[in-house]
Amino acid sequence: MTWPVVARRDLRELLAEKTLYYFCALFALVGGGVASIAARGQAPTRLSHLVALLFLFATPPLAVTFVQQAIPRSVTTGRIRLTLSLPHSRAAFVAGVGAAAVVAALAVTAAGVLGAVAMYLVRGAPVDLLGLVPVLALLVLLAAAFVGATLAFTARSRSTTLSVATGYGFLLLAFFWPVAVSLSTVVLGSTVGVPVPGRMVNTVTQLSPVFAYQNAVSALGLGIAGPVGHIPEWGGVVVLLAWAGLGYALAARRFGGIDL
Amino acid sequence: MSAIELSGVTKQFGDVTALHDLDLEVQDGEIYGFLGPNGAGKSTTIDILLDFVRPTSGRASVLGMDAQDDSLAIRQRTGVLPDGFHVYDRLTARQHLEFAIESKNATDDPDELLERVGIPDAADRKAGGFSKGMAQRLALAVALVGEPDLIILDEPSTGLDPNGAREMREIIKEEAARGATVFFSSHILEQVEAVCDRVGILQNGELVAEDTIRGLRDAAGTGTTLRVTVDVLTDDVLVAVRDVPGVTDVTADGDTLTVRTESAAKTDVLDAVEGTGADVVDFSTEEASLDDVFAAYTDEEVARA
Repeated sequence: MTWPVVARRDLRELLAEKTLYYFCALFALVGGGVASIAARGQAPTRLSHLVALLFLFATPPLAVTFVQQAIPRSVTTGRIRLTLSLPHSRAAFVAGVGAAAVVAALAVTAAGVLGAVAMYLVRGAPVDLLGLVPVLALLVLLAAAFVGATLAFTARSRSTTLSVATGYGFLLLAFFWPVAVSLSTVVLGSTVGVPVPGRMVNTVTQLSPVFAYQNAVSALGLGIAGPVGHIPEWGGVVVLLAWAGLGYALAARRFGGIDL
Repeated sequence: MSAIELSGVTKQFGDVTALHDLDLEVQDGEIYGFLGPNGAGKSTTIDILLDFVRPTSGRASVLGMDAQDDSLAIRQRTGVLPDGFHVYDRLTARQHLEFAIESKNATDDPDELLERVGIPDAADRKAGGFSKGMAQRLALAVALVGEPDLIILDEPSTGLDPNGAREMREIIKEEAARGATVFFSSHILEQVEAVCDRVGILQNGELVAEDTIRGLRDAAGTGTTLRVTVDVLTDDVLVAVRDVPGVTDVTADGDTLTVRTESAAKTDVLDAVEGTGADVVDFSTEEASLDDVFAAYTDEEVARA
């Protein structure tokens, strides 16, 4: 597989256009700013709790932002022709742009975490570095899940505008998943007359990458609990892996079938 | 062995048939020029060879391998200058080449490649600031990475100045001398004429002619024009020249005859003139240009359509 070569090339370009640096600086400031409030007082918020919660809202938009136009822009500009004139399979190309987006999103996340850690150290608040490790691992999965899903939705698109709308549309849906599930439940109940048990509704809600992350984080005892359904806490990890893996597989299949 | 072989390839985009039952064979080691007017299907053919698009029916093979099933192995041994490509604006020329070298596991020196294509000073410049010609040279350098067995160039002289086009021709000849097969599409006929062993003319998705340029000239019937100046032009001279087999038209202007021939040897024409007792003062030969040959094939097809 040649996807690391494609990923390195995309990261080089991201670094060259400086966007990544700006994002890192901004999120370091945001992380530090939020941490300065959380680290106050006699009982500061646990750092791992702060990071888990803060980046639940920050990492998914970053992942979507870095990947949503990757395939459509390559196709519409003709860059894909230069890349695929070399011995890279289409699947390797998809994996490469996805990996680059995950790394970019995690680099910005890491800058934010470092900003928060620095502020905790300045404030003299306890820094539980070991507690951060599983949270960071889950953030990697969260980023990969959103990248995989966005790739799947945009793989056949030739419109960068449409891909932006699709990417952010999915992001909104992932966060407002319970609303969508509740509406579907109401519609099912009123039109078909099928009552859906509350626990089943929660289970479907747990399938959102956002709530799967929340489910998995709750296993770490950080006090961030999501809806309780049939999926156990560790199952959140499986759901995130499924979004990442199936998303990539679907993206590779869809992109593999188009004329360039 | 065939470097490229298309057999019964048809490609439809919706209602539009871009290629219609195309058969094409390019021999190993030859320089093959692929001609045709805009929209004839040249780029679609190349896109099928590179697996950028899939044929609706038919089969394409490159270097003895299936163009779809073995696309990766093909591109490992092929250098491509694609049509409609775009460089990575924020990467330097050197970074483009490093990417290509890494992709092919090759050991080329980026500076040597840039020197060869005539942009040695652009190594550390971002490609977004390149002119069309410089981007084209950079893409050619990418195509040369790894000493490919087959080089596919789609409209390689687009954006190049005359010097650039000449350098491109030199590189094509050098690569052919190294043993590579070169397949390139173009609508600049003099470029094709200068380097190609064989030429195929594509029109409306069909190969309407394929031969050496000499063979195409003969087959197209565009013929040769002789201008013969004699000391005294008489009716006997005109009659004698008209009677030469293969002469299609004779006109006189002062002491100069303009003789169009399909197949007659110029010595036969000169013998006929001198057989009447006239002396040939001067003569010149004007072959039909490739433009004429191209027009003869494509206009005929347009008229037929």
